Amino acid sequence: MPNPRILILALLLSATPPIASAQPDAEAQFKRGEKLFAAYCARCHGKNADAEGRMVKRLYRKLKTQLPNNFTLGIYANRPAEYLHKIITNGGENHSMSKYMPPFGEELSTENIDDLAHFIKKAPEKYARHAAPQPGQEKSIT
Amino acid sequence: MHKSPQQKRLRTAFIATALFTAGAVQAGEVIVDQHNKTFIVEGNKVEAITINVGDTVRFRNDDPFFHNIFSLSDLKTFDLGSFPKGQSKTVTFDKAGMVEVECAIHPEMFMEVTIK
Repeated sequence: MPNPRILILALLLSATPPIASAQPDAEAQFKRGEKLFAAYCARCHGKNADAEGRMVKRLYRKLKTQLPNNFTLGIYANRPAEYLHKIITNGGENHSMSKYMPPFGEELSTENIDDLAHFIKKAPEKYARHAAPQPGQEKSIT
Repeated sequence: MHKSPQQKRLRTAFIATALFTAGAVQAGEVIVDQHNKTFIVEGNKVEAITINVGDTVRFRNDDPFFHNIFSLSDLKTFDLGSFPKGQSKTVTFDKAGMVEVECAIHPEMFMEVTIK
């Protein structure tokens, strides 16, 4: 019969995830979010998440409408992921934000939206160097 | 044959009405369906359409999910917002040229509108 102490130790070791795996997972999620952001969000929020997308430059400033959020600002690091998830899913109009923010809940999977929320929360840290003061940007802060 | 002033007024009114009606008919409406994440005109998938100056395009969502329509072309910049199945949005093209139309929810959807 196997030694019970060895058996317990083996069980504990097999149940404990490697300490180093958390960091690569977060980085992989950021990369997935970055790719989705480039495809679905950058036209408004800018490829560097600085609210300088082509829609802003060519249309929204002319319309003098609410501008997209600048995710390089530090406040987005503290936004709850669930809150970001809801806005991406339901669109801006359903959350008293811009009517031009579309609902992506039917196009993107829950995992996709989780990846985007993760990307947005990390954007201040990753993209802060691209940030520039935006006239009227304070309007978009929620 | 000599016409009375009343007959002349009636004739002028008739001609004016006819011209107004002709003008109204000339500026038509083109229906573009959004179906399976493509643009459809009269049952055919299209990536480009040609219309006349003054025509209105009605974008009709025929998919069971939201669509959006916007354009950043210099000739006509607009964002019609997002709308669910069964709803439609219109835009009138009042200058000749070319306008690229896109969907903000589905990056693969785009169409060229040539206005003559």
